[in-house]
Amino acid sequence: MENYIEYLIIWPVIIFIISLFLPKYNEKWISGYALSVLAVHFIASAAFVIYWMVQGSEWINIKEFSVYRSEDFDFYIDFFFDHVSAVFLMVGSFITFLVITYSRYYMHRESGYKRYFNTVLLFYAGYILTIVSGNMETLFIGWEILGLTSFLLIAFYRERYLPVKNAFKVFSIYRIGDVGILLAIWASHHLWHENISFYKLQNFDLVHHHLQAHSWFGIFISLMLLIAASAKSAQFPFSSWLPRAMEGPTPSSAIFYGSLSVHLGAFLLMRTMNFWEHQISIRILIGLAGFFTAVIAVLTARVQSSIKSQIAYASISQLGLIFVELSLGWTHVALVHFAGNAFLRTYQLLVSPSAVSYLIREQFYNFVPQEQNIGNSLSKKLEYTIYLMSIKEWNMDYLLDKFIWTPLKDLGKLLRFINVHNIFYFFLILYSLSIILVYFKHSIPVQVVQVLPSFFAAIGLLGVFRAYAGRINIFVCWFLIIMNHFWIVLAISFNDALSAYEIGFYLSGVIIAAIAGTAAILYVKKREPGLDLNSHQGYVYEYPKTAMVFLLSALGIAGFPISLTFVGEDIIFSHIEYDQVFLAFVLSLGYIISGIALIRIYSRIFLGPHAKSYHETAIKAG
Amino acid sequence: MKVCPAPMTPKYLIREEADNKKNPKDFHFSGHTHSLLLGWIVTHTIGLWSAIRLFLNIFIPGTSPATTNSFRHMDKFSRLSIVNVNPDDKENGLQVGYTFDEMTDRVEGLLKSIGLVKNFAPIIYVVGHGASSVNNTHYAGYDCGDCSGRPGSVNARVVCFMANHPEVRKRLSDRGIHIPATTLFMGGLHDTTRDEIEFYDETLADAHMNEMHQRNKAAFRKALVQNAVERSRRFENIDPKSDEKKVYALVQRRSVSLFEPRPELNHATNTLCVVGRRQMTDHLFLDRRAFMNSYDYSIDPEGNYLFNILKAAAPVCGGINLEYYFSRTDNQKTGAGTKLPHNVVGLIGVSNGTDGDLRTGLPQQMIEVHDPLRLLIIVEHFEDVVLKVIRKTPELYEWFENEWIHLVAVNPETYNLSYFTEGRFIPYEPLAERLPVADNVRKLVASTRENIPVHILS
Repeated sequence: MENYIEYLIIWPVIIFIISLFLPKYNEKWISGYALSVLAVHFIASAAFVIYWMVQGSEWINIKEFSVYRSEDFDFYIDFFFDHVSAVFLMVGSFITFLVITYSRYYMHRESGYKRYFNTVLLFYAGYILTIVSGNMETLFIGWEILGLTSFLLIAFYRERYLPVKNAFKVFSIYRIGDVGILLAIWASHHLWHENISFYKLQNFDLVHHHLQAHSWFGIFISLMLLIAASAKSAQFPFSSWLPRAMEGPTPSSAIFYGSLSVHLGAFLLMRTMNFWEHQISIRILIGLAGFFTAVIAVLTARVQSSIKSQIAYASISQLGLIFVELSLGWTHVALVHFAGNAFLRTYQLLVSPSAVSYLIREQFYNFVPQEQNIGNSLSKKLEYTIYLMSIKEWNMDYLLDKFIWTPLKDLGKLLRFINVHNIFYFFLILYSLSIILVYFKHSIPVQVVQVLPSFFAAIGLLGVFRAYAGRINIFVCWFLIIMNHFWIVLAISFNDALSAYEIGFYLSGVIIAAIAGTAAILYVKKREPGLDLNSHQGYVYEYPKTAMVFLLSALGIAGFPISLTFVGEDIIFSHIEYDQVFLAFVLSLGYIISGIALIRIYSRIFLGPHAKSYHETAIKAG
Repeated sequence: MKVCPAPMTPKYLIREEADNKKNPKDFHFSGHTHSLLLGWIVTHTIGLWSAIRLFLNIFIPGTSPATTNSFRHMDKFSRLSIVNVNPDDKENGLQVGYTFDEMTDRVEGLLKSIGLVKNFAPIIYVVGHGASSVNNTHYAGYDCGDCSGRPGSVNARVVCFMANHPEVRKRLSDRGIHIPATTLFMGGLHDTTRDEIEFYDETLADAHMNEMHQRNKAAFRKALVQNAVERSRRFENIDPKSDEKKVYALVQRRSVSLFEPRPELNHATNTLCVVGRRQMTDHLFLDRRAFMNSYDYSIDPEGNYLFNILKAAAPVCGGINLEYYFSRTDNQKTGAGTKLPHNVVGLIGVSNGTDGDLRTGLPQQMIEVHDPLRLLIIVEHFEDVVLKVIRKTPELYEWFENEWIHLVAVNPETYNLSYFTEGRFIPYEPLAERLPVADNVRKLVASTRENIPVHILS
């Protein structure tokens, strides 16, 4: 049985890799392949779940293998299967199978036919990995794949401005969720002194015992999980990304934002329920957050002018209710609710183009104009206020901009004096001095040494802010992001026991990716001297292979789970002491913002409307 | 519902009575699914049912409440209020029904403009057109442009009622058009997506006529299958060489498939509009690219009916043509781009995603087989008459003066051609001396998916 579950996980990964080698223009092969392998996976999953239920539906936990291991740290891949995984597995594989069948004809003659199927298959692999993951690290791998594929599918029509802009926006909000997970992982290490598996979390006594001793840590971890779940499930205040994500072909919107991807926030809460269910304050918070979102989203859904944003907000409101159900401990109700909401919204999105003819007909037969009177009473005024606020989606989009992204950019602008001429010397000197400091760290007063890690990490972070702030030379931007990793290594070196091997493990991935990425930028820059980061230039059409190399390098540097950097990040975090909350925060913020900045470089160089007017270009607002 | 060309303001109202057609409901479109508590109940119940619905819709496509069905526009067995009894009988400023004089005017105008004033056949079919599709935001573009984007069934039925009415025939007779009592006008509707036809008021036919009607029905059926085969050559995933019945079934299946962005290709590839006697195009294979307008110059020496024809044909056919033209030449700016990410906004238009502007023009899926050529109108009449007719109103003349459409006059006696340019007709010599001949249409249409030149059918 354990072997069998491993096949279920490995199979989507293999089918994705094989799909990359299919002939680009042979639609029959591509869709036929995707369809048949997904059908097999669906049937196999169903067979497995039935067998598992017959056997008594016992929890399965498989400790797969260690990726990296040292005395006090073990990064291992772990799988866990229970009734929550079973429901998500069945709903996910069924919907993906149907949507792929749907897309087979729907996508006919669309440029990017193969790219679409590749991306959906990668999404599926990430989804399966997430729902059967046995610890936070494994879950994070799947989680990151989902974030990336979301970005790629929202920006599917990459020749237009709005899809690229919105894909970037959604990616940024996903990264906020990622901060939550990274910090939760870090805090968990300190709480459990090991990489705890979800299986162990089911042990009430163990959880209870640890939480008694470190109740603040427990609350911190739960809060971080709630942030991650809220970002992924578009709960308040992150809701505004969901309607904006509806830029890809309708079936991809259906599978991602109608059904599967958006429910994974709720999944995260279900998975970690045994951890937070003993913390009454957290349960109340989750319940209130869910309820508040549900009310706001319902009001918004009722007044949106487009069908897809109506469905998006309706889905968000039901997700809010799922959060409420979870806070009450009703896992089974929440699971049924998930399945129902996923199927309903998928179907509604897929038939959404029919809404015009249906509703016009409906209006013709049944329309009765509403009696309207414009009053001046308080209740009327309140009604109008709520109406207007709902039309403006409660300003959630604006508030995120104002309170998160703009301040970050403003911080970055403080470093405007760094330019292409001085950056090299500036950092070379600063960094050399710092290395000397590390070397002599035993001669420095302890109070100073305690501050230094945060100080150096903050330098790296400021550099990342500068890279994120925009209006910057490509090479400066790129260099600042890479340097962040070096600053982090430096910062952690002040803590004890970071071995040369660990540093090598961490930086090797960064260096390889940095070289490849630099080569890619140079390659394009040499041919397109006007290349800059001030606007979208859409060079993916003329340099598709270079674009791919650059994307992979950027992902490597961002610590995406294709590179050793990913494991390295985890090692680095394990070296942050439990009293260095600030350092942990600075580091995770650095990772998150640099990821966003990297994707911005990619979008600006390779995506968006063509820089050259001899290509077909769409109007910006089109 | 308005069923006349969009720029015109209707004056008459036809009420549909004893209407038995149901308006099927689908809860998936209901705003209740967006509410909080009801939404909670719905997701727990109907939500799970959606999975089965989706499965069935994908693997066994069939009509559903989401489908736009052209035959559902009007109930075949309903009664229409066509006769006006009292001129003061008005509803929303529209006169209910027509008086007999008004009917006679209309029937006379119709018959004269198509040149049908003698040698009446026993059954004359007046067939409107409409289309069935699902998940199609541009469904109105598939229906009749002369009916404001709706099926033409009511119009076909109304005009037949008028032409069959003894009072109207008597008055027509006074005006010189003698329709024999043995002639019956029968209305119908051609569903151009599914290639199906429906007839109205079939009970008016007596036994003898019914026998003929049944024979004709079989002929119609055969023609529709052939039409489906001819259309299928433009669909990449149908092989027009395979069995007729199979092709026909596949073409029909497209119209109810949720996932089919090309239920039909509509007016794509249009280039030509022929206004003249049908003998002129007899045995010509035009590759479904022409608007055909019957017209007999000999009963209209002054060009009065020609004016009525061109007044409608230039803006309607020319408008359709230019819509395809511009959507094709720059699909991103003057067209709607690919329809796959389209989002319905306020029941008035589509945008990309939720942030985008409203998209004008036609989506890529409707125009990709279209070659951007301006419409060529061929009129069978003398140059001077044609010139006089198009100059009658500035609204009509600007179409030709600005060369938004090309115009060729065919001299009905000498068959010499002249081309209209810079305000006058100049003689035109065709480049090709003779046309290729084809003996098997089926083979010809299966030979390529590209445009096929004009052939003579032997």
